[in-house]
Amino acid sequence: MGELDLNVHQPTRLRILMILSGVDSADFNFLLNTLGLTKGNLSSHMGRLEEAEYVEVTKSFSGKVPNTAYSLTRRGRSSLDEYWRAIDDIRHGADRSER
Amino acid sequence: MNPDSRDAQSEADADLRDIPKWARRYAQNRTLAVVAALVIFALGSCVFGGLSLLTAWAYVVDKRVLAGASMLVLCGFAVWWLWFSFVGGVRIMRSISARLYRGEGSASVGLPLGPGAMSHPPTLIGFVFMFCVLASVGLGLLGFLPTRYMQPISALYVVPFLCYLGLKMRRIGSPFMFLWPGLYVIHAVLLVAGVPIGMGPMLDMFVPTVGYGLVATLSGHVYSRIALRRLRRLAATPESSDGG
Repeated sequence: MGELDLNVHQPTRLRILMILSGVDSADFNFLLNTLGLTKGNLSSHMGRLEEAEYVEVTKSFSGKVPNTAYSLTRRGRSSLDEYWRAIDDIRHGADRSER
Repeated sequence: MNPDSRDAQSEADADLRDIPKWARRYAQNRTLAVVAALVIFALGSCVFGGLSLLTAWAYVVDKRVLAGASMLVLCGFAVWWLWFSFVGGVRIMRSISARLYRGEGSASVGLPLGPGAMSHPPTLIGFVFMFCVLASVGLGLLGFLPTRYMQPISALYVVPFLCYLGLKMRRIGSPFMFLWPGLYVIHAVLLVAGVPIGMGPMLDMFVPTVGYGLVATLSGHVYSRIALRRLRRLAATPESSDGG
């Protein structure tokens, strides 16, 4: 488990990164509704991902309404790919030891 | 790890790995803005047609003031229509889209969420398309084209244009948009084959243009609901309100 990136392995953050890996950009409201989190909870996860430079934040206004959009950075994408590779390795290792 | 729990874990992983696919499908099929554009186009066509008829009628019955006034309104509307089609429409559609999807937030593929221009079809293609529209309408009005074949003739430029748009925007657009040229062709072929589906020259143009467009965009919208429901199920997180 030491090989796994805990910024990615945490279940909610993993889901956030997976959503962002499928689209070019998603806003705070979309992530909030899709994941069914509270605003504070989502903010704290996004803060962690932003700190790790896994997501990029774009703040804008839609009319007078502020909008915060997130997109996956190159670093975030490669960390996600590495994470799944590590998971697959662990799984295959477990399969081999079982046989 | 026993085999049962490993199978369950693999299944959970497979669900997680499906999240990007459904997120993308949802984002590609957010077609309500196009539905709104088609409705605006339909209403605009009705206003345009109504004003033209009113102007012609007023002129024929010698109501010069009414004819002049409706002609003025018609010109003003035509100017607004051009502005909407080439300048302000994208901004208006973007704002309508933001309102329609306010409840569920926004996810996009290919387009920035913030202010920015949605890519128009290249100007040359747009002009060629408009030239074909005006030429066929003009030839039809002058009696060079039989009105019952106006729709099949229009299919010769409408279908390639719609296919071009669909292919050009395939990364960001809904695959259901290909239903539109598909249905347009079928309608044209049936008319040429003499199948009695003709509704008169006006409706034969209006139904394939707006009606099939609505069928395609609403199909995309329905699919986006399915994709969103699936995405929410897959992305449901084990935590509810505790921090990470």
